[in-house]
Amino acid sequence: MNNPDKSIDAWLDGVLDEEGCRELNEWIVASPENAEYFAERSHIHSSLFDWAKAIGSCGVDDVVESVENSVAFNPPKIRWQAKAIAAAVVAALSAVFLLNSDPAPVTGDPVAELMESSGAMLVYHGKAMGEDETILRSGDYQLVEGIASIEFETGVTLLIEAPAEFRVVSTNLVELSSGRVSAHVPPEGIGFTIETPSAEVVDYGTDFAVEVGNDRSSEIHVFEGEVKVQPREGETAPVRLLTNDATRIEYDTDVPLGIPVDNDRFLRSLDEPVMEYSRIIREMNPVVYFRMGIPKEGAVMKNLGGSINGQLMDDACKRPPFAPGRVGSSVKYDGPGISPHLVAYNYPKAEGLLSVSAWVRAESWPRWGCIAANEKKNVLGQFRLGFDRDSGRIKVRVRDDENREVQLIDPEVLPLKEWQHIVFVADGKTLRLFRNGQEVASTECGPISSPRNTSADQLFVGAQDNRDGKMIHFWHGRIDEIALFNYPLTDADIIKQYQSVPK
Amino acid sequence: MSDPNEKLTRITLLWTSAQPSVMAFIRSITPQLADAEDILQETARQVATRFDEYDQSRPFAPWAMGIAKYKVLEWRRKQAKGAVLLEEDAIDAIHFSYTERAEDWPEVGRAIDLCLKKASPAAEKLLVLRYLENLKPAEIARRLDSSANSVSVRLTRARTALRDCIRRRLKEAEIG
Repeated sequence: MNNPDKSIDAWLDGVLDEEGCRELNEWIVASPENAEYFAERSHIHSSLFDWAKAIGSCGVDDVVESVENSVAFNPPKIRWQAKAIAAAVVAALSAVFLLNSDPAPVTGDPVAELMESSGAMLVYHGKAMGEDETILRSGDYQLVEGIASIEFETGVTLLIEAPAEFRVVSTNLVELSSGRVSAHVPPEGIGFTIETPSAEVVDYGTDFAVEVGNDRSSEIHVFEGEVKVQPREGETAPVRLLTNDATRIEYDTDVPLGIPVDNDRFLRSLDEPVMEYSRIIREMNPVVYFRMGIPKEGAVMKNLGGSINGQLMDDACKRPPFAPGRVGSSVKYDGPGISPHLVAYNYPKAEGLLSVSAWVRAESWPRWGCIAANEKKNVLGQFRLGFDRDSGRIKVRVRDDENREVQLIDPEVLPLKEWQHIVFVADGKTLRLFRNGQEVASTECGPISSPRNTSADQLFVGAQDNRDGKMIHFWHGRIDEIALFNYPLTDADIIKQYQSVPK
Repeated sequence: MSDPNEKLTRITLLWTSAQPSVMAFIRSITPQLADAEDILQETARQVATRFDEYDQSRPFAPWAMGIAKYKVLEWRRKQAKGAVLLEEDAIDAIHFSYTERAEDWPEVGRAIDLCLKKASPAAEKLLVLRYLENLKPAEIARRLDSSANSVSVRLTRARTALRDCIRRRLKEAEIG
């Protein structure tokens, strides 16, 4: 018999003909191993009926429809579990259900350590880990919130972003069921493997990242070094990825799909790197400087220019609102709807002179999308920097000391999906707008209105509030390295900032 | 065990845990669902009637599966001449494997639950059509505007992926 699986399945599906049945019979009695093979497969077949029976109690059409519609969270499975529990209760004529409902706590072997985290909530076999628990044992984990950096004894480090489900099998093997992970593998960790539903990723000393999508497909991006990616379906030869290579493996096929490496998707570190740009900004004495990196202390965004810190409001976000920035990490805004925003109260306001600089990257041009603003309930305080309604062009609006609003608009539309360096300068006589080191617009403008003339005491980054105090005008994209200076930056300062970041 | 209530509780407990494996054995010999369910009922009745014969120092599932095998052979003898059936020697071999691995099957069941979570939506849809609606590959093919052969191949792949996942989980459980 050439293909036992095919024959057994045909038998179990009731479509095996007489000749096939005779062959299967001979094969089963030929060896105890064959009989055991048959028993195993037929047991799976039977278990699938039981599974189907459990989910079927919510109606065949419902199940088929919800399977067809399932993309994100596979509702039938959730329903199945609920129904299965209900069935178990009915069947608890016996104590079986009660006995099974209180399983002994799982304690695997220690294999890794939680080194750093940002708002991380890790769940181990259904139980939330305490804040003081840093040892990761072998077993099943869910990262429900935040970002976690774990390190194995070989020095392999993984940066995992919520939501993610994974199983730590050993110091050399992690199974990633869903989510996004970036890995750094030193020479001692060569051979470290991440298994996904569609691929096995074996590392040869490198920096790489893996993402498993809701459709169970996997993407592997190599930033440096080499990895081997073996599709799990079929017998396809592995694909070897080198620096700046990436591939996608669909769950239902075994053909690797080459794709461009994505350097802008995966967080690689919880730490903001010390770079020339940040050194230059600090030398320029900002009154506010948010690096927009991943906060280590809850939602506090540290102000490197003074003592007034920011508060990152991201409660409603499904995943940590961070992504690679122009310098280190950046805050990622999802546009209108549920999106994070940053707010700092009672920051030191300008007394007539003001400059604001930031790196921004737009995914779209949301109406009135706000980069930063000092305003209150949609009433302008000292400034607002963001889109001009639907035009996709950057507009800066300031209030001068005669209580007039002065505005300036970039004549060009802001390019999408590209980092842009934006600066405006109010020097008491003119208001000037710069993009990528070049002045793009200017107009006459007196000194900025005194803070004593406005009740707007907060600085918003990535959104602003409306008359009812609700947040509106969310940015869609990323904002990085925002700084406020209570003096006019010179052209040379602006060029220095812009040129200090490698292209 | 003279208290009838205590005896009923004991039978219920043992039968509830053994029943999925007993049913799997029956289904492996009799792919027709209705026949398998009839045999299971007959087996359950016999288990309750003959419970006093059960040696409680030994595992229950193999004992219950012995009764199931007897019922399966009884059913087989009643089938029309020319029906496509497995021979008694194959049934013996399958029964032996099921009883040999009786202690493993509950673990397999738990692993299946976990592995089904990894099934792709496409595979899950096929499994729902096959096992919930109890459709044969040809009928599924008509629903999906595909060919029976293609459906059979995809079903076999889905089951194989499930089996591989189960084996992996069992192996890991053994190691870890």
